[in-house]
Amino acid sequence: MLKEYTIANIITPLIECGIGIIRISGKQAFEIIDEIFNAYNPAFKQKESHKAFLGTIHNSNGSKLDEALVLIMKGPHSFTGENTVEIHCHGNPFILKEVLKEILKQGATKSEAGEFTRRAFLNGKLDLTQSEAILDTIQANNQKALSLSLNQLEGSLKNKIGLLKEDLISIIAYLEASIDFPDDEIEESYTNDVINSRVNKLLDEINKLLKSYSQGKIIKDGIMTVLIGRPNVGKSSLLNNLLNEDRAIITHLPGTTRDAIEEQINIGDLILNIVDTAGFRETEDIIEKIGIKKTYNYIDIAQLILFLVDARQGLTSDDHLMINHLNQIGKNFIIIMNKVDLIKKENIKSSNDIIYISAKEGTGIEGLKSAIKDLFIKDEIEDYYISNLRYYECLVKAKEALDVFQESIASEIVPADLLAIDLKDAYIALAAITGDDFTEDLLDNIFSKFCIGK
Amino acid sequence: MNFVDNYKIIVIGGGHSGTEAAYASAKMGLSTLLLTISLDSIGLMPCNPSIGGPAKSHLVFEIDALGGLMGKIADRTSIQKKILNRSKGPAVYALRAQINRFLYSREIIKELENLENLDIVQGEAKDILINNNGKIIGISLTNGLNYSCESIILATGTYLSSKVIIGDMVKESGPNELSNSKYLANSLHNLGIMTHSFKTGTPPRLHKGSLNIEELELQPGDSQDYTFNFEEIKGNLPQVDCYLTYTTDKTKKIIEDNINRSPLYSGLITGVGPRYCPSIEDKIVRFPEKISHHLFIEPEGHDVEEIYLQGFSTSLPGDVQIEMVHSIKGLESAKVMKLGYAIEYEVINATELKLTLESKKIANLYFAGQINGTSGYEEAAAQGLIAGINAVLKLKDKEPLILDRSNGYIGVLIDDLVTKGTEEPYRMFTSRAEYRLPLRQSNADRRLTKTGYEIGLIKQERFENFQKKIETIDKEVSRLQNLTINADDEAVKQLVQMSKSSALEQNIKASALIRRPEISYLDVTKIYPPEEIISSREGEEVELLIKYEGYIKKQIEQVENYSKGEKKLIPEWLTDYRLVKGLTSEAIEKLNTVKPLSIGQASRISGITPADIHVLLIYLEQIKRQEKNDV
Ligand SMILES: Cc1cc2nc3c(=O)[nH]c(=O)nc-3n(C[C@H](O)[C@H](O)[C@H](O)COP(=O)(O)OP(=O)(O)OC[C@H]3O[C@@H](n4cnc5c(N)ncnc54)[C@H](O)[C@@H]3O)c2cc1C
Ligand SMILES: Nc1nc2c(ncn2[C@@H]2O[C@H](COP(=O)(O)OP(=O)(O)OP(=O)(O)O)[C@@H](O)[C@H]2O)c(=O)[nH]1
Ligand SMILES: [Mg+2]
Repeated sequence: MLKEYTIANIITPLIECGIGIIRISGKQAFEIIDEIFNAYNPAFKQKESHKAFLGTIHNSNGSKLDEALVLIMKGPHSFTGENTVEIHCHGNPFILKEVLKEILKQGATKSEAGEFTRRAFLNGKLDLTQSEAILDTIQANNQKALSLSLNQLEGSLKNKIGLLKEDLISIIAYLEASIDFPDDEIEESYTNDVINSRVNKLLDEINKLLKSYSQGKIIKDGIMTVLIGRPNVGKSSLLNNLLNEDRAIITHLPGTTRDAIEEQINIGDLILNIVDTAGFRETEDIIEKIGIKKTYNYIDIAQLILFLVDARQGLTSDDHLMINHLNQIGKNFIIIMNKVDLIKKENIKSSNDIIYISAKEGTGIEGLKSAIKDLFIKDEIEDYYISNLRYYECLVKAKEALDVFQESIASEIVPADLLAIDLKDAYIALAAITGDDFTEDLLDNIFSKFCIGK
Repeated sequence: MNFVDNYKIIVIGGGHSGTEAAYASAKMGLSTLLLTISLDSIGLMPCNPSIGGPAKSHLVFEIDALGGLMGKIADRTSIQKKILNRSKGPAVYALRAQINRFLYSREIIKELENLENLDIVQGEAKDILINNNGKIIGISLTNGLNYSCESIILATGTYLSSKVIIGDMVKESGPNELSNSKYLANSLHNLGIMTHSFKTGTPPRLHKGSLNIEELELQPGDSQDYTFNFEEIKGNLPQVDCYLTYTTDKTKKIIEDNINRSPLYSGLITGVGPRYCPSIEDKIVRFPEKISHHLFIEPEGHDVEEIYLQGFSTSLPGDVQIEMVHSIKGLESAKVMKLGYAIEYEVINATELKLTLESKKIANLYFAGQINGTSGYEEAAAQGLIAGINAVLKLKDKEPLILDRSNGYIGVLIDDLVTKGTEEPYRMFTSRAEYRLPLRQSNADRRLTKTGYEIGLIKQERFENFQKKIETIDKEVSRLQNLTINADDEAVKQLVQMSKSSALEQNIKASALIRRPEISYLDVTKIYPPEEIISSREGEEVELLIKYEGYIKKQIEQVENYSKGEKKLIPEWLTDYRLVKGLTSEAIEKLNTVKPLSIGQASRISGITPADIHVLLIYLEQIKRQEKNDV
């Protein structure tokens, strides 16, 4: 419970601005940064305190997420008093979130509200007067978390986790009962094969839940959607049409949109977080160039790409290059022919793959919306899904413990008491979601299943 | 007030708990009185005549490692030994001994009678005497005598206001027709200590000569050589067999037909019973699909006919019991010598205690054994030992002995009781320990013997032998870790082939070879023997340390993490958590009852959230800073 894990979070406001900072604090901070950051200067390895290094942040596949400045601060000479790393990224919410996700993957835990400050206080970095404020955040956070987790756990997800736990504990109960009650008649039906296949099934279920995290996130956090296309094809106009407001700047000059613009819109149950980007083409304008580079970054992290084409020009060779690229990296994308009002009806070759709209007149917008829905609601939404990062992390832990278990059982040398330890780790990870007591659950299960006793 | 005698410490109770407490107290040099309702109850085993088994044998090994009584007396009086869980892993190997229960009591009495500083007196304690300052001054007995003392250890077991129940008969009595304790519960209530009732039961005892042995399955024992005690002093009693038999559908029918006459179902029994020791009527009702239940027949001694019918605990009326017994395979004409019965008795809520087992309300009043809500001889003995040691340490103004969850099953037991309390009679299971692998019975000495020596319960000579043993084991492990085996060593080649292990492709360390499942420590040391002779127990430990090195390391890491929380102590003056701004009212209430010693303990209280712990940590830090400012 008091594990001194390493925490991380974005510490600047999540809005589009110059820079965004992510802080990592704790024992593993330096190990984690080494996993995701390539400094241009090899001296970074030495982790000299209070030095800044420029380099690139990448995800586990090696794709670059951003160029960033990384600051190293050795404890106790840091805000929290612990080893601390600060990553100064470009201030884009999507990129920041992606970078944070990578950090969490490497073993950090997302900090709770006020946790950096709390650690700073406990490590003697802040004075007494500041502690009251910290207490307030803990309390507020606690209340919020309580109501949040209660809501989250109403209904089907809770049932689902409950079923997984029940299944797991009945396997553990068998192992433990045969250990603690060697004289009693514990059914012999639990051969290693049986246990293994049940654990396999459990793993399948957990993997499904883990996958549902993206579905859950889509429902809760929205679909990361990026509008791309050559300059002047009408990207900003489409965004405005969807938003019904004049948010993006529209001109007849190609290359108007220079910074990515993020907006949120609802399509039925779905939320789209739409980013409008600068059109892609070779250009001399240096600012525009950076903007375009960003577009490519966005494509990497997008869950949906709306690819706009001017219907009058049709698909150019550049467009085909882009489509190939999208197919290659396996992105969801929709090709949209805009400005249909300017072409003759007979030139509209309706097909399943291409949607014709007029951003100006609003024609075809409904068709576009239903195409988006089809794309995302096509895999049947289960009535449960994971949308909370903490639950996701718990499930990952459970999965890892079960993986270890499978290795152990396959080796055929690991005895029952040790096998039980791995399963127990998995159970404790699941129980962290619903908050139950392992020993009590186990004993309840043993005594209700097996007729035990002198 | 007139006192017939003066003691430093009075132990009330001569059961497994009281005897360990009195033994420790006298051994550690304080004048001690052991008071018991009946001298015949000293060291009495009122239920199954066996000691040990999974988790319980771990407790016995730990008691022995600290210098307690139970292990060596069990070895001395054992009439069958069994090693359990051999195949289930190093953490859960367990020893169980069938005991000649008559000799066990006798041997315990002998140990105590000859102990300096200890008096044994028969009599029923009536009142705990307290002066106006709330300080303990002594006890009064129902026979009119008073004894003075500075500390009291209460180990009243299943006798406190107890009732024996058979069918519709309810009788004020302790186990085995011994008198119960009639007044003491009231004295506790007057001191503000609440009690509630728990229940347990025991099966009928039969005459062995009346059994049809041919119909029973033989259950022979293992060698007697494996001992609980460190010195490996083996017993010399003749070894006897146990037997296995089964209930029949007739048994089931008899019970079902008479279930309305069971006090469990008629409402006569209200106390909470243990789920792991259900009565046979409970088993039939709860598992109706089971046609037959197995029963073990355990001798109560090698030289007596009385046998114990394990698995057949019951409180049905006598006539039903006899009919039931006769329906069992091989027992068709068995003679019932004693009926089974249920017993209800009073216990306290152990969350009223500190981790030293001292009452939070009344200084120098300790509670140990079944009165704290546990069940079992081993659980009782473990607590008795800890209470005895701590009572002495406190009077000597020394640091208390608190074992935590990483030190041993004793630590787990006491931490569970004191931190969480228990809603049913608490029995030890290996699954209660989260760091099972480091808590093996085979390393109990490594974990605890130094402590036993420091407090004066382990003699110099044994301590030196212990140190030698540890040294030998460690030396041997490192020898094997450093010893390189040549890939074309002929003897090893042969070994590998014979044990169907894969051939060595390159030179490897001896430890790596031992880690192979098909190859044992003995195999390797036959080829590469150690310089000095290694005993078989030492050898087993070496093998285990090598084979399970990875797992042991992993769990030790977990232990280190856990220990951090245990080391963050909560100051003793913090007894009212309303002082801590920001705690929920539920947390305040829970913390006020448990009064945890450390942040780690606080975090294990059910219902205490991580946020509560953070609030507490900040509060403690605030106080620390304020104190610093004030200086
Ligand atoms: C019927 C029965 C069935 C049981 N079944 C099981 C079982 O299935 N499994 C299991 O693990 N355990 C069982 N037990 C429990 C086991 O016997 C106890 O856990 C263990 O003996 C408790 O030890 P103790 O030292 O706490 O108390 P006890 O062994 O009960 O000893 C209590 C001592 O206190 C003394 N005493 C009490 N009050 C006073 C007083 N006022 N003044 C002076 N002396 C007093 C008594 O004389 C006695 O010496 C059973 C016990 C009984 C009686
Ligand atoms: N007739 C017609 N004109 C359109 C349509 N959609 C956009 N336009 C016009 O096309 C021009 C460019 O529109 P924008 O929305 O700024 O195009 P963009 O793709 O965002 O351009 P950049 O940001 O420069 O890359 C504007 O003059 C719009 O009014 C349409 O469906 N029909
Ligand atoms: Mg634009």
